Amino acid sequence: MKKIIIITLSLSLVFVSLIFVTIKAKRENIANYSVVSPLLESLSFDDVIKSSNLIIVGDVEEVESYYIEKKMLNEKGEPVEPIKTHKTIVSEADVKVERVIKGELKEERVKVRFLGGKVGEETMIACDLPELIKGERVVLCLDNSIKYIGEGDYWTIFHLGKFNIKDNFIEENPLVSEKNLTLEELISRIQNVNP
Amino acid sequence: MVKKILMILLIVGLMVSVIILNLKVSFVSSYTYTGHRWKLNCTEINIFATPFNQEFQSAANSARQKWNQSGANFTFILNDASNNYIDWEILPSNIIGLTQVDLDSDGYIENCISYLNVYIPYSTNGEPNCYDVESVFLHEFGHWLSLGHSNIYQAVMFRELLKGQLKRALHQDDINGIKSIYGIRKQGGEK
Repeated sequence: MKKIIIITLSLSLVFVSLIFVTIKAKRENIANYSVVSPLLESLSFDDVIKSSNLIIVGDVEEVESYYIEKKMLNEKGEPVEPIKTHKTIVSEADVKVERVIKGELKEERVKVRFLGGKVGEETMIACDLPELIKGERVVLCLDNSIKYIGEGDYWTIFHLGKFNIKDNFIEENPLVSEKNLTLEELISRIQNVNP
Repeated sequence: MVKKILMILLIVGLMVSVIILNLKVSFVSSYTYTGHRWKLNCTEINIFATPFNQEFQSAANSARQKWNQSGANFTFILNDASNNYIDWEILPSNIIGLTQVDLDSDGYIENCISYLNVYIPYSTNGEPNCYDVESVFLHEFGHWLSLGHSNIYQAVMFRELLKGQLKRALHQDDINGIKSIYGIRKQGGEK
């Protein structure tokens, strides 16, 4: 009986120590970390397709993250005086275009910018907003009408308009309820909305 | 033999309980906790940093007070010199509001900024073609308090909002969420 008690106490001690180590590791991982969370307009699949000016199938070849400075603005979008800035991390992906489903594009590649990324030891996570990862094959619903991630010539992903492709099937996305949707079926659905 | 089995069951039960408490998993609610909270049970908030009109400031203040009155042990304190502020931002037309939460090196929340979108029509009186600004602030301040998005449509912390939709009262799921993070206030009322 004594042996069991000793073994139990030893096991509990090891277990509790492991939990503390895990918590400490978690704390170290989240240092220099920011989170952005959006409140989104309620949009359907059809809304997203109609509102995007370019829809492509492509491969994410490179992703680079960097800081931009954002100025405090008034309700007209003009900087307020005295100028106050806030640093934020954004990423830019180089996407090789395989096929254009909607819109016109002369280039073989597009630059797609999104909020979040990692610069040095600092990480910014954009919750519930699409991000691009090197090596992904994707269908992207893009927009370039509002330059909200700094200056330059770039596209942004409209709403939740990123569909990951794996083995020619579309992975889960809040905009489509069907499971096991193939790439061709998704393209067909997009073309039906936007003939 | 029976004692040994009982002892093993007790140990396993204890370990499972510790894991559940550690992960703060909730099996009955839909709220989510980002895992990062304020070190203290209060923070300052500046609703005067940017030129918002009087009605928008009142809406932001009302949203602040509603979280203060949720029964959770947390208080938003008004301070017009605080670096936690609300602001305008150029955002895509489908983003109604956005909050950035910065953490310190210990993983506690250090700074928060919420943005309204300069391209979005807002109102303070529930106009059908505009987004209700108090509902937006109530949602954004939920992020300040470490809440993520809820899957309950009626909850303030649901990820989407419709034009003309009013969500000016906290849903029980929002209240459960905030109480689970900061505990229950022993003496009621706003500080």
